[in-house]
This record gives sequence, C-alpha cells and structure tokens, in this order.
Amino acid sequence: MANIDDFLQQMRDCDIALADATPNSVAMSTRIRLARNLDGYRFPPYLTEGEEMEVENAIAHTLLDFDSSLTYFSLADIPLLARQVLVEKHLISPQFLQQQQGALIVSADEKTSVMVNEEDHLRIQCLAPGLQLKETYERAFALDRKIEQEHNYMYHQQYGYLTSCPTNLGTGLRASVMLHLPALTMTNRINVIIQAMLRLGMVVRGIYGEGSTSLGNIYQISNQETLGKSEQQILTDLQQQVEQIIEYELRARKALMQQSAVLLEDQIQRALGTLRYARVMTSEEAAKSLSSVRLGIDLGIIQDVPIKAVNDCISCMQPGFLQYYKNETLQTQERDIARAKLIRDLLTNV
Amino acid sequence: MLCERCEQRQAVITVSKNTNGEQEVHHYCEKCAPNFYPFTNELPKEPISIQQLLANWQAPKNVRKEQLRCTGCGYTYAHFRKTGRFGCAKCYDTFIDQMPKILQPIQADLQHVGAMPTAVENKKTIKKQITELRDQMQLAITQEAFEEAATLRDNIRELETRLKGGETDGEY
Repeated sequence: MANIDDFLQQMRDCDIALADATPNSVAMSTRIRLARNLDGYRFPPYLTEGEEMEVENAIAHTLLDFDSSLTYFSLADIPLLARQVLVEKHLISPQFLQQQQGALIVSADEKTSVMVNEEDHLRIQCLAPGLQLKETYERAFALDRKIEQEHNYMYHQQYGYLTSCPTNLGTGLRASVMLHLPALTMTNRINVIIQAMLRLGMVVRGIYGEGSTSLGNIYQISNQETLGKSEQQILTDLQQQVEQIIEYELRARKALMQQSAVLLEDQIQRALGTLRYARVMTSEEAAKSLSSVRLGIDLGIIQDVPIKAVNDCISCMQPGFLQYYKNETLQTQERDIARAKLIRDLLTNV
Repeated sequence: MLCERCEQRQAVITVSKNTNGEQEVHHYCEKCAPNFYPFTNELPKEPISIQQLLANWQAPKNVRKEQLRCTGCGYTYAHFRKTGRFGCAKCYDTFIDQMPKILQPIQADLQHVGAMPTAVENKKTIKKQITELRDQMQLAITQEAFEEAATLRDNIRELETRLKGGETDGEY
C-alpha cells in the first residue's frame, strides 16, 4: 500500500488549487463535489465495521481499476498532521479528519479525490484552477457514471440521489468557486454582495470552508440548493453570479487605482516589504499581506514576483503545512517564526 | 383497602385515568376524593404561563411525530432532529409527511430534476416510447391499417417485457 508521507512529498509542489492560477484571475479555483450512496446500506455513521469495509472495498476496486492515477489510503493509516495538511489542501473535510473509519482515494495532482464513508458513502471531488465549472463537472460526472456501472446508487423518484443530510439531496452537487476579492473588501462592498448572494441561494464562506472567516480576502461561493434544480441550472446560475462578482471586483480595482493610486501602491509595497523582511508573522498578517501582493501583481504594480510564488505561500503558510514539512510539532510562536522564514525564502528565491 | 391520601379511612371510590395511553388507578375515601380528578381539576401548584399551557396542549401530537420510527434503520424522527442526518434510504419514505417542512426552507423545489442513474433513465425512455407507439397504434386502428397496428402491438409488448425485466433487476 502507498505511504501517505511519500505521497504528500510528491504533492508538495503541485497544489493545483492555487498554483496554476493565471495572473488577473480573480477566480482562483473551481471545485465540484457529488454526494452519492450505495443502495442496500445505511448511511455511513450507522454502518457496522464489516459494512464499512464492504463499501470501502467496493468503491476502491471500481475506482482504482478505472483510473490508474488514483491511490487509496485508509484513514486509519494517515497520521493526524498529514490529515491536517489534507484538510488545508481541501482534499478532506475537517469532519473527516476526526473520524476513525473511512478512506481517501486521490490523484497526485489533486484534481480528483474521493472521500469514502464521510457523511455519505461517496464524496466525489474534482478540482481545477481558475473558473471552469462545466469542464470540472464533466470530470466528476464521468467518474460518477463509472461507479454507477458497477454499483446501484440510492435513488428516489421524488428526491433524486439520497443523502444522509437533506441539504445535499437531489443532485448531490455542490459547486464552488474560490474568489480573491481584495478591492471589494477594501471598499466595504463585500458585505452587500454576500447578502445578495444569500438571497440568490448561494453560500459564501472563507477559504477554510464552513465557519471560517474570510482570511486573506479569499471567498468561496457555492450553491446552496441541490434539489429542484438540474445540474446544468445550478452550474449556469453559479457561473453567472461568479462572473458578476468578478466584474464588480475588477471595477472596484479600477476605481481604487484612479482615486488613490499612491495609497494603494504604498499598501501593496509595504506588504511585500513585510513579507520579505519580517522575522515573526501570524497567519492573519501573512494572509493579509499576501492578498495585497497578489493584488499588486494583478495590477502590474509588482513585477518581480511570480504569482505562483504568492499562491505557494498562501497554501504553505497554514499551520498543518508548516509543521508537516518541517517534520515537527511547533508552538504558536515557533510557527510564526517558521512561517516568516518560509515566506521570505519563497519570495526572495524567485 | 385504605384511602391513598389519608391512609386511615376505607377507600370507597375508584378513579381510573387514561393519560397518553397509560392507565392510572387511584383509590380514595369519601372525604378525600373531592380533592382529586375528576371531582376537581388538578392544576400544577405554581402559576402556569400561557406558553407552558400551549406546550402541554401540543405535546401528545409532537410526541407521536418525534417517536415515529423508521423500519429500515430503527432511528426516530427525534434522532434526525438532533443530528440532522437520516439513517437509511427508507427514512425518506418513513418521514415523508415531515419532508416538505424540512426541505422547503433549504431547497429550490420538492421534486428532483436533473441527472439520474442510467437504469432509471432507460426505463423512462422506454415508457415514453411505449406511449408514442400506443398513439401510433390507435391511429393505425382508426385508419384500418390492421397489419401495421399488429406490428406496433408486438413492439409495445416487447418494450413492456423489457420494462418488467428491468424492474426486477434494480430497486429504483
């Protein structure tokens, strides 16, 4: 069986969610998730140990046969710190981190991952850089159809694909786009937009998912409704809303540049200075400064830093990453020192 | 038997009371009995708020709903309310009366539209084909094209057999 440590080392440099994003892209990454359950079993928390293994084996067998780039990991074989890294990479949920049972089937490029026996038997996830809702959905759907050829899903004439929690019922589809919205945040317009999104049946969250604040001006927009709308409708609605928000963000950036170019440039260059020279840095400060530098690159104010370096910093400055790749448990202040050093290295050796 | 209250005089009055299906029996003497149900309304000693009164009023109905149990997994509606999760596929039918209340605030509609398993999709296509062929057969009959009608009838039968075969394969 593959070792999660080797695997994570291999993954080290290909954080697809962020690394490939092109400049001027407000949309950082796209994520599609399908929730499915196998017919004839109860939902995961209520399975016996034997049934859990049956479900795991059945799904692993199908998926590994289908796609040779996928690797299987039993959750029991993944140490806590590695799980933390997987959460920070959005490959598993914080809830899954705490479970005893379950499995993760994942590709090294992180574009495809399947959580087995989390809240549902299957959580199929496909990731892509930038805004690519339809293409990413097609990939998830292909995987879904493959599994369906070999296993019967729970399906209800009225309620569609059945899920453990009724919030995922019907299509089982949750589509999300990660957006970097510094100008809308600076001009205090983000709250109005969040309110409008909620009324339109969208959910807005911070980068770290449910319950997290919008650290680093990164927001995740996703559909709330899964029942009563077709997949195409869900994707089209989200696409429209996201394009609208991107448009607002770009307009806000333009306005900022016209009205207070010097102040904006000052803030951006100071942020870069802090990142390049600070010796102790909290995650809040790092997130804030990285957001400013990313904006600076988008606006052409900063030209000697590639966006990939900034995107790398955004993922690697998280507590799990820092500790995992340093291979030791760090206290808060030690983490702040390690974070400052890592960011210095990433931003100066470019 | 002695009176339950004074425990001195002989009990001469028997009161049986039915609360939520539970039978309660009391024995009192002539003197003590008037202090109890059904001769006096037994109200709690503390003053009761209108909310409490209403809560008690609705209790039996809610208790029934909360205790509704799924035969598939054995979990109750109260369990769902506590965890937000169902136990098995059958729960969705067991608690079907509660579903609109659960789903309306969070979902776009109560009827699924969109992708479905291939087997279900195929069955839908066959049903549609059958309806179309029936219409064609009726038309053929009215036009007295009986040979064509017979062919159409055979086609319909074949599709119906396929539909039945599909039904035994998967429980959808």
